[in-house]
Amino acid sequence: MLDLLKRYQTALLFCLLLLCALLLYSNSLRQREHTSLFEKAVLQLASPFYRTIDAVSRDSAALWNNYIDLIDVRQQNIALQEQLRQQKAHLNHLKEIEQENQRLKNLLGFLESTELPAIPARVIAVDASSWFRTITIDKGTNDGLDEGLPVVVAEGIVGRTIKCASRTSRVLLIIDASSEVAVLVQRNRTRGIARGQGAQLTLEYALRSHDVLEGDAVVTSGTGGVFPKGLPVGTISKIVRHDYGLFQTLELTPSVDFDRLEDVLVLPGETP
Amino acid sequence: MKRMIIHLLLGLVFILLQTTLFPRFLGNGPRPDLVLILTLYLGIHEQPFQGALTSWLLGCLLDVLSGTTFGLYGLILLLVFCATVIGGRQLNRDNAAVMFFAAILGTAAHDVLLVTTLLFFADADQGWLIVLRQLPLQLIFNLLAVLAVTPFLNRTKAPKPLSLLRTTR
Repeated sequence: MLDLLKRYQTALLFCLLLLCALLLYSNSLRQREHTSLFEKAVLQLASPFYRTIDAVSRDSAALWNNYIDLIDVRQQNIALQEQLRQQKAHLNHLKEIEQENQRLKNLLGFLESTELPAIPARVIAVDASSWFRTITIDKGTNDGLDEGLPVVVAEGIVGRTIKCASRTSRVLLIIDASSEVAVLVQRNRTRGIARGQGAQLTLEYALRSHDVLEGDAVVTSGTGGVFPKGLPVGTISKIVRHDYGLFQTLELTPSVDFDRLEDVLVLPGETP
Repeated sequence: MKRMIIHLLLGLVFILLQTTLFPRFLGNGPRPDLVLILTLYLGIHEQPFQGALTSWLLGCLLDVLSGTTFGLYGLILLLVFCATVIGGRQLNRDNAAVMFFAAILGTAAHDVLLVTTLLFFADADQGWLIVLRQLPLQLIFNLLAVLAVTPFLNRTKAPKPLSLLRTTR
């Protein structure tokens, strides 16, 4: 028996290691939104490196943009001043609408919705592989973050937190293939599920009978249990209606540019 | 044991590069998979069990900073290592072209294993489409990575036993 074990020692050790790897993966599948001690330790260990690299690269980019790469700055300045004049006029118009909105709300007896608390965070790293779409931010459990919190920017939703260490957290972006968000088309309230496709999104389970147009805005429906209602998700860029079936498939262009994410907001008050 | 720690530290540096520096120049899409190249190198040059353990730990490190499920890359890199050990030992390991050959087959095997694991165990839906779409560019990046990284990896190679040197002389 011992001879047999010695002869196949390497093969047996390989099989044992493979079994351990399979069991670990299988166990993790059941508790995805749980950050293990090992994960917390590695995230914590990587955090100072990330912060240093992030600071150095930001400084280098600032040096390049502010002092070296100044071609066309004068033309840009003129164009921006013109744009600023137009925006000022637009802002005045919006202030009028805001006041009108306030008056109407008071008239209808609506309660003023309190502003959602938000924790600003900086993106310090992206996913280590090319296949998944996650980012690492510089805030963690010490700042009040937890797994499953929505992450947004001014343009729309970004994703949700999946792993939290004390000073860093990882965020699953909505464009990841394993991400799903309950959404609706703003114009005609068609409901569906937005699923990530790497760079784009698809809107699935939208009823075929509903008329949806290219360019329609899509917002969160608030029914998924993670994101609050009404946050921008994207706009419809392509409509695929088959000859049969209950649903139509819609392609969405996300409202957020995920290649240029730098600062985000985490909404801690929106835990499911 | 010393080489195992060196390889793990090297893996950590590679992961930091993959998460910070590469995305700044190459965006969120395909970028050189240095950890895969390290695993292939271990499969060709390292002792089977020590290499397997290192590959699994490298995968687990990668899992902390990639994807959603801990253990996925641990499993995949271990399987890639096993395949490299079985296939790579038949080849002349001192030939520099072996690493390029391993990178081509290893990238393809890695992607097939990733797609299969995601389809069998997780709800990845059309995640396999992303993997397949990026495969050609990923292959080019990995071949370039072999060219850049192999000289550094060769410095961590175990010295040849004296007895072997005497017989060859």
